[in-house]
Amino acid sequence: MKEDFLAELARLLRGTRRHRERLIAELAAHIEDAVSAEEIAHTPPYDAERRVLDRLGGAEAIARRWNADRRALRGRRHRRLAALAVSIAGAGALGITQYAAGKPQPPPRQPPARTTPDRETCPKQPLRSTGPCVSSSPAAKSTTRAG
Amino acid sequence: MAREAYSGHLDLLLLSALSTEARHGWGVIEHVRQMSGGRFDYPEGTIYPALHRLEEEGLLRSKWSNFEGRRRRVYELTRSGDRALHGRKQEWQEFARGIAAVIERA
Repeated sequence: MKEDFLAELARLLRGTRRHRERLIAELAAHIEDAVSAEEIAHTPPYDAERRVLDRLGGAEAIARRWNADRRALRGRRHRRLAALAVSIAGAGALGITQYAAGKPQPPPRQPPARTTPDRETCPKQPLRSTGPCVSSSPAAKSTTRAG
Repeated sequence: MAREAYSGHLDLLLLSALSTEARHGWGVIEHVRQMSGGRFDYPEGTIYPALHRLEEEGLLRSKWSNFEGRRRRVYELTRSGDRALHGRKQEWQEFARGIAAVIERA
């Protein structure tokens, strides 16, 4: 009787294997304790088990309540996950929008101050030199010599 | 009073039964039966889905324990469960006062 009850219950339950096995183990333990209590009250063993199973309610009633609770729990979990996904997506979109709106513009690029002669105007000036550009034109050379 | 009248308050009964000490399922049923003077006569198997649900809601915690040489799943209240119990007790007492106030005038 007890084994038939537990087998029927195992057939009807839904949910993860771990949860189902735990429920069945608890009910098996319950039956054992309840039968012990009946036998202490001098109920014959066969009658004790029959009474206990009657008081348990049928496997269908237990499975119905169990399966309904599992469905409700799954529904709540799905709704929580969906709400979390929406808030993450919303926060991400808000962050991108704020970043795009407030992103600082880079300053206009200034040409660097020239400290060395530019190769374009002083083609003959060695790169290491930091002095003024020495022109190679004849006019510049004659002015230099006269002074 | 019909059995169905008690079924809506099963959670309150289970939380109350676990407020003073940790118990396994059979112990919870026996405690409620004794404290209610036999008035509570609920299909015993259906308290286990309720205990599991209360645990999933964070109001109870449980573990396998060796109880008088037998392996039993023992339940106890969490802190949230204790708060929930006090809240539901107050709701029930308000409800009972309201009913009493009306029926006393009948």
